[in-house]
Amino acid sequence: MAPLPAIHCERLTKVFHIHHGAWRRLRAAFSAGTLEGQQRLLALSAVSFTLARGESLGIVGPNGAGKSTLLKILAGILAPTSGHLAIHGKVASIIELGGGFHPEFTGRQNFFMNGAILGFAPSQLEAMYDRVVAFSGLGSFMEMPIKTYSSGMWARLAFSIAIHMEPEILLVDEALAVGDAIFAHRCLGRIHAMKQSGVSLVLVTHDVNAVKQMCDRAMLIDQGQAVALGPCDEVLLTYQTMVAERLTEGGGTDADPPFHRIGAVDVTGAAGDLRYGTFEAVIEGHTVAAADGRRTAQFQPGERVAIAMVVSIHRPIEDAVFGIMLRNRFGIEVFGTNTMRMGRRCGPFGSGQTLTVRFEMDLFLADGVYAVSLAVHTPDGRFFDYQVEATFIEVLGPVHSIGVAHLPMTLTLTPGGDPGAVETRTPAPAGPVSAQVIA
Amino acid sequence: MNAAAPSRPLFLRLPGGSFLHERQLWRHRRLLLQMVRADLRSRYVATSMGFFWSVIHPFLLLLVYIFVFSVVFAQRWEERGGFHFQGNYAVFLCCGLLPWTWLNESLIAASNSVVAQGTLIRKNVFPVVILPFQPILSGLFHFSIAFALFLVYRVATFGFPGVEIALVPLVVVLQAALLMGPALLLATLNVFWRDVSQILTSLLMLLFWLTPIIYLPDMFEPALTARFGASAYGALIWFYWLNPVYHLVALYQRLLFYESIPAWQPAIGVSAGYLLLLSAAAWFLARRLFGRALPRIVEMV
Repeated sequence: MAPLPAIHCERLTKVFHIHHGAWRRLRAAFSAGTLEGQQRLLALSAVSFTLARGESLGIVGPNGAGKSTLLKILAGILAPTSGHLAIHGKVASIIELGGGFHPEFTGRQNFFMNGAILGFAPSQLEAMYDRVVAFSGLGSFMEMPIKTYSSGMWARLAFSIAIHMEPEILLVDEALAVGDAIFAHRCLGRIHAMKQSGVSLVLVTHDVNAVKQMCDRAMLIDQGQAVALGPCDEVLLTYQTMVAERLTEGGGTDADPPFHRIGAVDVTGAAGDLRYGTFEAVIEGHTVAAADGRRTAQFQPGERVAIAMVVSIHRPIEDAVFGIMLRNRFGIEVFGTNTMRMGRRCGPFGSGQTLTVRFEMDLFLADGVYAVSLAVHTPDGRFFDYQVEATFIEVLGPVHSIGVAHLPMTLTLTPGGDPGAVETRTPAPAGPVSAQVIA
Repeated sequence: MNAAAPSRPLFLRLPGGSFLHERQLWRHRRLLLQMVRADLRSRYVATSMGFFWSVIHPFLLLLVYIFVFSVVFAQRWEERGGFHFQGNYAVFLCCGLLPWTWLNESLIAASNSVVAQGTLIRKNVFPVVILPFQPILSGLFHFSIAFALFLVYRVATFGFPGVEIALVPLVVVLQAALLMGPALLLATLNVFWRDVSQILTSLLMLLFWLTPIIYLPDMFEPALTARFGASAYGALIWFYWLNPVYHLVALYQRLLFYESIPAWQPAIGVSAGYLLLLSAAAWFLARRLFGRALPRIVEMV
């Protein structure tokens, strides 16, 4: 027997009835049939799809297309007017981050409230609490009323709660756009990991890149109808074409901006405190600077960055490996290396010694925020100190490209059709990655 | 069909009949208690005297009534040959005023309870049915504090009451049951017609004066009979007999205040039976209408 699909829906239709006047509203509410002369609003019209276990579907479409209505029906919040819906598995929905929070209560109290709404017993929540706090990075803020939180902290708490409810099907609506870039980074990484472990995902978003990177398939909804359903590339192309057409048609008031960029974020925010190791060698601090020594966390594509960490040795170490890893906001490792891979042997170090390890590289990366993880470990991979997401850097350039990397390139237009006349030029060779160990 | 029962959204999984709403209520009892706790906490969260306020408010109100009725107006009632509360107006007053405060506050808050939690309902799979119960339980908490203090006073002034006091907890349960139906009904209606909450506030104010809470009808008997004839007084008593709040208040008064029963008063069993019947009828009506309207509630709030 084939495993049941996570979601199976056939011809889901939702009609909203609009009534004017209290008496008509009351009559409509308590009568089984439909009343005459009521205004009908077709929010969703015969949408069908099947989502297999572990599969992910991105739903895109202009505002008011019916995306959120569909998600609410899948979540069980709204009842469909007609159609068939079968869901197999535990559903967690993030329709709006912190939709059930009470501003006067502390983060801790809100966690227990929210957990109870989601149907968890206090004992289960108690067991979950530490992990949620660790993930949210809110620490002692959990004991403060959340009205004192920034919107980013608010979002962090909400997302941490939802993500730790261990659902089998995760429904996410636009939630990734709020909150600070650093946390969004971590959330996307987590969703990615959940996907790997077999969680089905439905993502409603305007972020075309998010759909591309996280979803197996995409669906385009327009005016309540599923206009396209299929591979991401095709559907997103249809969507972008549609958006472009509407923009040219008039004013573009109907469509959303097709590309969502994080851009110009404040990356000075508190970085994560996920850290582990034996601490026989400790990363005491780190700096991110431009090649000229200017301290910054924002770079243009291709700009040279210097990432340095100060390490103190607490026990004689024969052989140490210093490493660095850059991950993009989807948690994908875009670049990582260490002194061992570079053929550089470091050590031995005596107890009490301090050293600075400096990595310099050219950031030929696409726009976005990148998490920098730093590590000191033995050649066989035992960590002395591993700081996950120790700091963040942002790459933001004048040339907007698509993809993960921003390869150094030039563009040349030459008249004539002879391929031989097309001359490719390479830019001045950029310096390779260098690691310096100053003991 | 497949052997593994598909887990479906709540409204699809449970058929409309067979105590759906009652089961929902029981299943989410912990969430309900959590909401009650949250409500109590939020009310006093930034105040320095905290829960003490829940005692101060009814206490001050009592003092005002006691002053007005047993000091300012007392002389006038004595002159008209009226009733003199067997020497302790405060005890009589508490028997009516404390249950009334619970009823009044919880019904007004319940009528707004669903509308006020719109965000919760729109963004989560939320058991809407528990919402009107939160004000009833919050009110019960305040009522219990005030009522306990009142009992201390009752013992101090009147001495220990008789064995009837053992029935008081049952009356409290009965009151809670009586509030359930109207609370759910009002909360449902208010979603579709927001004036319900305002109309309710005015109607309850009228009902307060139409119920012998701070007075006894015996006081008016001479004046009423003199002006409109004996039938007018009879009609008033008939109205009281129909008024469920009167029966409720009478139960408390009978158990904690009267030594002897005025001739026109209903027996304890009659009051309790009438209230039980009304509670069941109101709940049946409320859950039926709520059940019909539930899908639309989620769309409307």
